[in-house]
Amino acid sequence: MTHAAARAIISGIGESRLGKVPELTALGIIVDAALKAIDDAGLTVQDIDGLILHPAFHVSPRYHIIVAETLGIYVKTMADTTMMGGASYGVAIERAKQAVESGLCKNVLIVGGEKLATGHLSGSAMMASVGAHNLDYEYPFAATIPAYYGLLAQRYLHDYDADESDLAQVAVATRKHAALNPNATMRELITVDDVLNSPIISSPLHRLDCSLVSDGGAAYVISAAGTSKDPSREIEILGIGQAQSYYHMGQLAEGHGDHDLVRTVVDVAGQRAFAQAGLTPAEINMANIYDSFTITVIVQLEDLGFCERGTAGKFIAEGNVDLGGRLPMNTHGGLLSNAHPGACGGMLGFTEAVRQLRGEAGARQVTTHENALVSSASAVASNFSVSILGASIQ
Amino acid sequence: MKHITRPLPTITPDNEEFWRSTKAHAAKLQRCNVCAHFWYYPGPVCHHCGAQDWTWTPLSGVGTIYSYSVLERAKGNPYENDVPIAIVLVRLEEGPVIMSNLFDYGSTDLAIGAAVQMTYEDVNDEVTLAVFVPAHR
Repeated sequence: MTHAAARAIISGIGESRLGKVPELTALGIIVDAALKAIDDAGLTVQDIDGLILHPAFHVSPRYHIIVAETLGIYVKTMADTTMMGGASYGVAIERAKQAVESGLCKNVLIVGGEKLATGHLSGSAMMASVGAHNLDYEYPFAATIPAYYGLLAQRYLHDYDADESDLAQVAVATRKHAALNPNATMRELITVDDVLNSPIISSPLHRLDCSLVSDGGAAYVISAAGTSKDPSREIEILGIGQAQSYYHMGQLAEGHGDHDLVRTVVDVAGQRAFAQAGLTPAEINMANIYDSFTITVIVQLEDLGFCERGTAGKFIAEGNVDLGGRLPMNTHGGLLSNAHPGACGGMLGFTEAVRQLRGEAGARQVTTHENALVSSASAVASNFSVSILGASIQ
Repeated sequence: MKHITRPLPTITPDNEEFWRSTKAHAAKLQRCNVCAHFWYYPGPVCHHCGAQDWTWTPLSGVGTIYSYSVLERAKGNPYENDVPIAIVLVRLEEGPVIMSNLFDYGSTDLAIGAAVQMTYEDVNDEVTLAVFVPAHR
């Protein structure tokens, strides 16, 4: 059987409970999210013939097979991992799209779930922080993930004569949206002063500049257009691109061409996505921008062309990313205020975009929801996936 | 120099000459015999031109701060009780940017562009790390 001219779409999404989920293991969270996504697509487990996930850093390198075994997905024509940290679950959509459109698979399940808040493995959260960067030339100098992003943020503030309040704007804007999301972990409104008065974790980043540490997981199913239970709820993948630069902070700082530590390669991923979608940044209705830290959002908004370099703090302060603004952003509350269950945290930007594009986002529904940009990032803003999703055309 | 409980690097054939040089308090890096660039971290090929032909070359020890972050909370890490710790990216006079720590600094020393001087911290019998102090000290 061939699948000539198949067009890949997102047929279903699922989320586990987020926050502190002591009653489930990571595998239990994965199963919960996966079954919800498969059901949302109107499919059964037997319809799944492809699987992609990002194993947490402390588990078996065959974790994807264990997940398939647990769910009862026996024969798969594709089962693979994307070890790209936070960017993995955007990259996974690109892989799944290629698999569906080439006829390799009919329905690809992408799933992730981790327990960073109530993990049964002692030190697993620490191992995740170790996994992020180099053990020989960086970790001996006491660098943690917030320290890496602190180095990025300090250089950004220097290069653009910005200050910590510009970073804080991201946390303040995001929290407004979380306040409208009953599932979000942090829902109390905050001010710029609240951010600046929260303790320094690694300068210039305060506690409220840093994302949460959560349990939880999510899943989505990528299928061929017209094959799900209700094609009017199918979500188009209008454009998708990825770009990766280097790994060591010194190598990023040395730079290459137009790019360096502060001027990231997300522009390359974005340009691919915009070109495929036939859209410009000005035509994007909403954006879920990966927000591991406030600085992560700042550099991406600028490098993706939503505002000029050095102006993202002002862009946010003027209300552009609020509901009703020019570009509602992180309408679920993001990793900063909704939940951040490790590498799969980036999936929550996709599940939220799908809800918005279906018009099912409740009190935080954006008015115009024909398209949404979703970015995911990892390894200290060196590794990106950018997707532009569209409402159903059925 | 204040104490930091440090996770230690693994010494391999790619980097043993580097760690030997820091232990002798005379840091060297590989300099490409084809394109003349230095590169960091140590490894089996020039990062700039792909040549596998290099000379281990002494560094001046002079550099400037590219960026910095003072770590104040590090729960769950071996050095959690040693904060605050100044983490710096230093652009060496020879070109490469390396991660390290800055010690013995005053309030105006921790600044992007500030001149720093390499010094050494003997961690144990095998490992000596290249660290930095303000250049004027």
